[in-house]
Amino acid sequence: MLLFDFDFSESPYQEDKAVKDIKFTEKLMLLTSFHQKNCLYYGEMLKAVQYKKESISHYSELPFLPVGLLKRLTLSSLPEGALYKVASSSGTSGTNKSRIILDGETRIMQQKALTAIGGDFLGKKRVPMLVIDRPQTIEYENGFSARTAGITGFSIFGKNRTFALKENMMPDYEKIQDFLYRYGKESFFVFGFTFLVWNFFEKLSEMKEYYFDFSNGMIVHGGGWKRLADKAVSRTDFQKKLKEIAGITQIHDYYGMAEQTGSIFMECEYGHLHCSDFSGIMIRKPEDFSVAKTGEKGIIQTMSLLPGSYPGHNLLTEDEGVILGEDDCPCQRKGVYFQVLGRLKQAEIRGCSDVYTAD
Amino acid sequence: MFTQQIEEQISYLTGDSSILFQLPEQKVLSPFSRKTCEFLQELSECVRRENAVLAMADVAAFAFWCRKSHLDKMALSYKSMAQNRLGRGVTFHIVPSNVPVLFAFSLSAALLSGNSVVIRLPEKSTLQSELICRCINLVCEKLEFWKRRIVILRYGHQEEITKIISKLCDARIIWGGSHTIQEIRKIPLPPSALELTFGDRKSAAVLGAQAVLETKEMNPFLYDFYNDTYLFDQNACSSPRIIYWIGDKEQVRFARYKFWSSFSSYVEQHYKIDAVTAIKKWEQAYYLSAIYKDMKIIHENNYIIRVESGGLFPEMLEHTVPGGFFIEAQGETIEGLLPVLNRGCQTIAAYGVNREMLKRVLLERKTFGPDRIVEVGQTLAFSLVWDGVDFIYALSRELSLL
Repeated sequence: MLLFDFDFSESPYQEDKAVKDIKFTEKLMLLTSFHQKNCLYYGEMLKAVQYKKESISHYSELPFLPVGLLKRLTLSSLPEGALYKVASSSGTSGTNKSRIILDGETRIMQQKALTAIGGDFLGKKRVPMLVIDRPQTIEYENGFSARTAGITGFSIFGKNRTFALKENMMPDYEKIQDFLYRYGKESFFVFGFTFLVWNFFEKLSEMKEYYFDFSNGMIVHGGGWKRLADKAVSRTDFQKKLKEIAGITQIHDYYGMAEQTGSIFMECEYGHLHCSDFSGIMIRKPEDFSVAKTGEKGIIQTMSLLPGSYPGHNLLTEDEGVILGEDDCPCQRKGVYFQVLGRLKQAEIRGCSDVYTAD
Repeated sequence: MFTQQIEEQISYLTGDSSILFQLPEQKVLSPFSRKTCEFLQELSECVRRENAVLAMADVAAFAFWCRKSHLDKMALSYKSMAQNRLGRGVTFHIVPSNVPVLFAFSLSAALLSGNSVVIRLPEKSTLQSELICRCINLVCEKLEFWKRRIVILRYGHQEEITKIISKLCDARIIWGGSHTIQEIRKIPLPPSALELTFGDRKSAAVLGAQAVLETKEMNPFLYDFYNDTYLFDQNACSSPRIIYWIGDKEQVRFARYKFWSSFSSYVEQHYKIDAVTAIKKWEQAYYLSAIYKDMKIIHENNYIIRVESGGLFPEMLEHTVPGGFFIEAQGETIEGLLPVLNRGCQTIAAYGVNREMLKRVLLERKTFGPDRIVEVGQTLAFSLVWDGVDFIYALSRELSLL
């Protein structure tokens, strides 16, 4: 169900606070009412918190759902019999995966929003693309994972797409050298999940007899820092190492999740993650979920105008973050910019229930 | 004996491997034997002295529990049964990490029944367990008889070690989550040995609306209720998760307002809420609203999240999360609470309700749970009857004469 018309031809970083407050509030309220009417579960949830749209004056007052709910309930606002695909979260922690109901229109919007957002960083011209993954990741359509969606989505910015890993996840050195030989003298684009990118360059650095020149490449990576944090690899380590090993200087992280269509927060050349005009960020305090001030750490809430087929437009993540500023990033992009500090850690719970297994 | 390799994985807080392997040769005692009571009295005094500075509340509660007068009182109630009974032999206890003094109660119950004891403590050391083990060693120096009857040890997740100790024992006592119990149950016991398991349970509270309205000084009640719930992050088996109000609608409405508004500020002053717990509570509240319909989520902030339900359904206790999350319902009689009183329900904490009468109703209605009814404030109190099992009976055997 398409609720709004978006203009995807312009830069998606134009709205300043005054404009966004009005437009975003109006549109998110429409989405909230729409899903309230069309998704039975969501309707019951809003009834339970006695949601009244009359009392809303700003989008920060709208109800938001903890993202974990999408792992436990399949939420859909589609009419019976409508066609849809199910996207699932990557679920690295081995727990249940989310089931995200996407109809054709929502998927098209997602692709268009990504084109607009990514294009702002990568330019309109398609350049050769090296994917740090194995071709099987997109061939085996095992449902529709975040990794599959990421590669397919970002492929619109590339041509001559080449997969850098073999089926066993080891680098295909010959193919990489061939890619660099053909395209490495002009700009090219490298895409992959953060931990795969890191493993990849670690492997390359072990090949002492070769130098892999990635200096004309721009890397876009995402999917989270959890696995690297486990290995005690920081953002700075990551950037330093990539430069050392392969001469890469243009590195863009992105933050996003399968659970929220349209929320792709790209990192600019100043290391700030940016909201686009289609998406929003707020930081909430743990004690009462009140809005934290700029510079104050808290729980990340993400909002997107795109989810039309399921009520995922306003979600509370389990990540910790901090807002760095609004409308005044030196990169000139308007909107809120922020930093993700990582997964929130569960404090140790006392009591006797199932604790032995965790020790 | 253990191989060298296994021996290196174990650290002993009391005893050593030679004591462990001779435990089966130790004679059993009668329940509440003079020797046992003497040992526990000494232990009580030693713990009280050593705890004087730190004043840990749970440690103090243990010392108070095994003080002389309480031992005498308990001994009296088992007086006639003790004449025909003897301990079973070696008891092997496996305890969880997050209730630090539980092991001491488990030890005392086994000793009082006339047994020797092996306890496996969790890997993570606590101030409480260090202190109590130090005292056990001190008392053993004084009363040497006990030196060869108690072994307390730690080891990681080595099934091999649990297997070897299990072969020695006459009774195995497992405290912990369902998963732990299932895993340990796979490890065989000698044919004649028995096993007691104390697994995951959840609890409810029954509050009388009229009594709450008549309570002039709310603070003692709030203090008690806080200890029952937030003191252990509402994650003890006995912490109330469902609150059932008794009274007519109007009465309950006023009583709830009075109770929660004062409790809310009490919790804010004493509890520290963390982000993940807050998120999980909200997730659960929304989840319940979606699957049960017609629920009402009530909150002022994230310290207390309440879900008001028109009625209670059998699996509702399972649908709760720790850290300050309550499902609330109301009725003029106890009838409305019965659906959740199944196998998973351990304790009912009562305030302003006649506990005798409550007990009679439950016996008459033959519900599968709870196993105990206590006053609000007493949910954490240890007793020799736990989860419906009388330790002294279970861990001793009767010599019958026909």
